[in-house]
Amino acid sequence: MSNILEIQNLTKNFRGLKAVNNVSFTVEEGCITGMIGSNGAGKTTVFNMISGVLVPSDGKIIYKGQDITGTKAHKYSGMGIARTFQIMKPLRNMTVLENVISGAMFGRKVLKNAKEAREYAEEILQFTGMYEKKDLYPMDMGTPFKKRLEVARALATDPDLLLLDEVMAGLNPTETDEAVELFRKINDQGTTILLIEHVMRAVTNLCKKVVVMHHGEKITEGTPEEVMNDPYVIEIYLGKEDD
Amino acid sequence: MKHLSIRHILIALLIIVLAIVPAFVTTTYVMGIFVTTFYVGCCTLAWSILGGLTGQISLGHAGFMGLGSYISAILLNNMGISPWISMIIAFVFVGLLTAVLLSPCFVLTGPYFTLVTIAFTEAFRNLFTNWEYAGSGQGILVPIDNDSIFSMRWISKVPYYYIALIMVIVFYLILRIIDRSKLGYAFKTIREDEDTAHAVGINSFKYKFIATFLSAGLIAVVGVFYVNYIGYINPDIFKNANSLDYVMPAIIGGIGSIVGPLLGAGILTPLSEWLNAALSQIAGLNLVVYAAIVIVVILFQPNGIMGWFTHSKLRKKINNSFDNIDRKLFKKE
Amino acid sequence: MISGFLIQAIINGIMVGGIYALVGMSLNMIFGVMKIVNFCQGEMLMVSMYVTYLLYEYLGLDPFIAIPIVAVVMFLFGALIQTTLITRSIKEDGDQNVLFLTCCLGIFLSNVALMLFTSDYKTADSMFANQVVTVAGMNISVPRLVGFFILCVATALVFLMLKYTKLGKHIRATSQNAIGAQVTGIKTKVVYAYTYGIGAAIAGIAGACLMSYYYVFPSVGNTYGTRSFIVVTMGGLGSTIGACLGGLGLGVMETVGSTLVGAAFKDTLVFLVFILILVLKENINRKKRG
Repeated sequence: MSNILEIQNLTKNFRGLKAVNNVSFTVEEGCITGMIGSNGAGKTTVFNMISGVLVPSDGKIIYKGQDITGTKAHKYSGMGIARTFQIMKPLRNMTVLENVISGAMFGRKVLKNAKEAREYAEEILQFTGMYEKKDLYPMDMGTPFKKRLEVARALATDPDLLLLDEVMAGLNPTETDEAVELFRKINDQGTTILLIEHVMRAVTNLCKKVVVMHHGEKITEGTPEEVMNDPYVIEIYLGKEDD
Repeated sequence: MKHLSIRHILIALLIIVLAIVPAFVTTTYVMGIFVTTFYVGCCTLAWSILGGLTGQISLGHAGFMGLGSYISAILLNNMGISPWISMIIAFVFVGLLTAVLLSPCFVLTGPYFTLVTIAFTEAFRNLFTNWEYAGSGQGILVPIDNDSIFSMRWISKVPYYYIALIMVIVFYLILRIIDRSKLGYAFKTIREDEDTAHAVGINSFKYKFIATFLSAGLIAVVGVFYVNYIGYINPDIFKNANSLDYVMPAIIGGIGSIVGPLLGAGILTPLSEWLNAALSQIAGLNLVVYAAIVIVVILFQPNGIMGWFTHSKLRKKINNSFDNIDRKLFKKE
Repeated sequence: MISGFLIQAIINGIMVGGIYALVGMSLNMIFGVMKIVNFCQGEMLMVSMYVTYLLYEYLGLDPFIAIPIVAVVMFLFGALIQTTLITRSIKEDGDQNVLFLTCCLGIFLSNVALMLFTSDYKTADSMFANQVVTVAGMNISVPRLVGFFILCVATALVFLMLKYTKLGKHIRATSQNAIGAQVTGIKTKVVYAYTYGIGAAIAGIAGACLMSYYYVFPSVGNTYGTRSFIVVTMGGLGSTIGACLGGLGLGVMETVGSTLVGAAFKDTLVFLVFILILVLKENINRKKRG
């Protein structure tokens, strides 16, 4: 399989602070790739650059063989890249259905009119298991469903590459399993997923490849098992063993 | 909603009642209140496109309306162009001018955008106060002719009543169509969260431009009506207190909805007219009471009437009973 | 002598700017700390001018001597408004409500003034009224000069208060991060009340100074309210010194501007420059953020 996304030497400076330093990795088409690392490791900054919210200070982002570095944020959904936000951003005064419709209308799916958008959005809600909640307002739902709504809205843009930023944080084990189930389902339909996650259970369950970041740099990558047994990763996560 | 339902019948009834009001109301004073309510409703609806749907709070709409008024008055007085044509000219010209002027300011958020709208109208006020061609501080009087459709001139208030009524209905329909269209979803998504809007593929600059164009253009059309109804225009229209007159109904009715602003105008305009008449002995008292009422609403029901209604049980009850009636009347499944 | 005119204009501008700077500083307290845009700042000024007028009319106090009393009265008034009204309308999602509330409050206050005092112009004579000193051929109005002096003192006091007093530290902490301040045991609600009070008190000082050579009427706040926003935007949000310089800058811009484009169009110039600064600042900030 080819790489849908190639990150080459990505760097981001915030007024002298190197938030992300020379990070390179690839995302294989049709797979789920994970990105882990402690808080402040620069994962979300990488995401923000991949989705066009931030312009990289240096480096390249190659999507489907094309250099998309510095493209404006609103053009990404048309290219087939969708994202969720770490800090949930539900459209508060719009119902769940309307939230998803807005994703459907401006995504890649060619929809003739508002009615078709509504039908498509309902389909997405069925798929993500939120159909019963379609007339609720986001604030009337608990965290798991708000997170799921973020995913549904991103999914409604009909992406080839879905960027998920900590969508399982704060979920209990059962809810996490449900979420894992959903992402596997999405992946089975052919959508490539790149996710940031702290919940290792989900990462080991889902990901084929894991990228580990620390202090703005990529320290290693590999299968979940490889990464988990890497001495440096263990050191970062658990501290150095005293000899 | 292709089928006839009790809701449509009620709306039709309301329009019919409003249409035959002039046959029963004979006092000019009461007719005046109706006309004012209608055009304030139009202004609030126009404001709502930018302020309510798109979430960009403007306090400069009185200024955009004033531009429309000036265009109509100048074109009629100096070139003999009918206000009806001016409506189209004002819509396009003021809409474009405002959108172009405000477009660099779309990067500004929240109160900063509001400040810019205030600054622009203050600048307009200053310009028009000193512009001799536009009558400087005295403004422009629209010539008093005999009744004529061409120059939108009648002694009686009845024709104005119907124009204003039709305008309200048209504006309402325009907003409803926008609200349910792709445009509306873009506006509302920008209002709720601009980052999300970008993430789903909405070009916020483009849609803010469109919202500003429509909003300012439509209120300029009301401005054309206003100047021909009132008979004169002067730079006082650019005072930002006037803009608030079109924002308050939206606050009371519920910002973001479409029925809300109309409802708010329907409540506030007659109230303010009544206060004006009832408390006229002491200058200022009417506005004190008026402002106090709005302040109380902001404090205790910040989402306005519709904000409360959408989340209330009453709405469910009303919906249910309407559905019941529908089932009985039209044997709908 | 063109340069003579220009220097006179600049001096006049600095004198006019003194008041702008004070009003700007009062807005800055509120804007900078509470992050709310107070759209009734001009009306606060108006209220303080009427307080000065009352003190003059009934107690015969000179506006400049009345300053401490006006400041205290305005402090209480501001704290009262903050604790009763503004606190209630602050919500986490957006500041629309505060915006509308303060707008309506402005209408409310100016119409109460209209009720109580009618729309007539009221004046309070100062001992310095109409006096002019001539320095090196330049004419300077004495009340404005005293006003300018008071501005300098007030700026220094506010600056020192923020820097060295306990309350000042609390205010700065709250302005940087309200939740963080709360966690460390600062009663942010009390700080807000103080902040709004101090903001109103500074407006009070400005009102008293202004009253010494100007007159008061119910809608006097309109001009100064909008101006105060310009000052704060020019000087930078949350910066006391910035507000001071911004005010003086605005004053100079107005007087020099009116010699350049004519007095009639100076407002247009001021507002356009204001919009330009706002937009440029935002764009530069965005560039910096990435």
